[in-house]
Amino acid sequence: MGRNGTTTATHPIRGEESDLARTAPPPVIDLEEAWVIRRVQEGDADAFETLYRAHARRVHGICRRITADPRLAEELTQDVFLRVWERIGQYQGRSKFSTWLYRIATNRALDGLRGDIRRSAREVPVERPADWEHPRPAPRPETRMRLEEAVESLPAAARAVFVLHDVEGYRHEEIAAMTGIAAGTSKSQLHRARRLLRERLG
Amino acid sequence: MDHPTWEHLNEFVDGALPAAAVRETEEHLRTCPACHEEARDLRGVLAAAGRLGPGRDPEHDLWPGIRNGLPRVVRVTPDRKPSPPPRRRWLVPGFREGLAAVAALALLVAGARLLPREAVLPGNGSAASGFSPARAPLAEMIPSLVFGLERESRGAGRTLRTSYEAGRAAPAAETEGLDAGLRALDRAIGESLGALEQDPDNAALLRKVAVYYRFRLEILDREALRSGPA
Repeated sequence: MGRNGTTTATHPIRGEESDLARTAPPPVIDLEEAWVIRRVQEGDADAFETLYRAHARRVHGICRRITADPRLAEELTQDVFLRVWERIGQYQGRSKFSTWLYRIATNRALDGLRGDIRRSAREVPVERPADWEHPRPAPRPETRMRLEEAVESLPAAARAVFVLHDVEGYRHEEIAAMTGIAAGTSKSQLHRARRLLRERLG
Repeated sequence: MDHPTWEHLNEFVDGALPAAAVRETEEHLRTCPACHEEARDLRGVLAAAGRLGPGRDPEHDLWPGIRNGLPRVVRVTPDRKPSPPPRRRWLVPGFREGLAAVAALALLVAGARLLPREAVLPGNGSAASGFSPARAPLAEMIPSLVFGLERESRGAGRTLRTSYEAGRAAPAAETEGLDAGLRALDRAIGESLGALEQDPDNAALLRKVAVYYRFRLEILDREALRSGPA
């Protein structure tokens, strides 16, 4: 340990000496969060509240946008965090915690969307997103709707794919794996969503 | 070129078209105001989507409900595979027990001979009996602690390097993330050690350093296991 507080260490892989404290790039892992996660893994509920406060908005945002249902989105958000508490021991830091968490949120929101559609259209066996097309309230007549409202007004399948692809950044192949539709279907739902948004935002 | 379809325009703005089709489409958009406007609107939708942000907060504070539900949740036992190498298993409980255990770890790692004579754990050296700053000031423990931790960390690094040199490793491109993570940890360790020099009896800082080292060891162990023989 240097007296100036820097650390000169052997590079763990390449083996050369380097002043890591001076040459290090911006951190790619959030060490404070890593510490909080470790405490949560040890059963610290206060630390879990810290994680909740840090991520609740984004998790709720995912659930809200995919389901377009405020009440359901809050239920799903609670459920997501209970699942995280249940499974946090399985998180081993191989991906960013946020990536792991938002994947759980996305999958849960899609489950919730399927369940919601089942409840509202019991006569139709809903197994695949192609069946998600239950009618949604007509968009408000303003000439320029806010995008959030426009997204909520989309048909369920188009909305889910749009949120996953254009907002959350998943690829069609990933969306296909998550939803059980073909990648080509994901693409056509995305194009449909964009067309409807163009019309409704225009 | 005919007017591109909506699907074609989507592929165009998504960058999914081959180069020749891109050139052809750009050419058309330069001469067709209607298609140009359509493409512009489409880009506008995508740009707006990119600006959507994380969403809205829940209308209610959901934490009380979550907090109440925690005791009813049966936590899933972590999947311990791949498990850490047996030679370092003692590290796991050691760090978890906090500062007293960190001191015990230093004794284990560096050996009692490396500690200053004054740095004696209370209760005849029993970690379980706790750590008393009055009898063993942190400032005197730090060099030995850091020496032991750093030596252990370098040992793990050597193991990994040996594994890589034996041709069992991923190519350099795949280790970039690992390098970056380790550098971030090293920087954090350096900063914490610098802060410890200013505030040598700060137990929380020392515990933080120990936790960072533990993360470092775990990363190296995991990578060594991953790159080791199947």
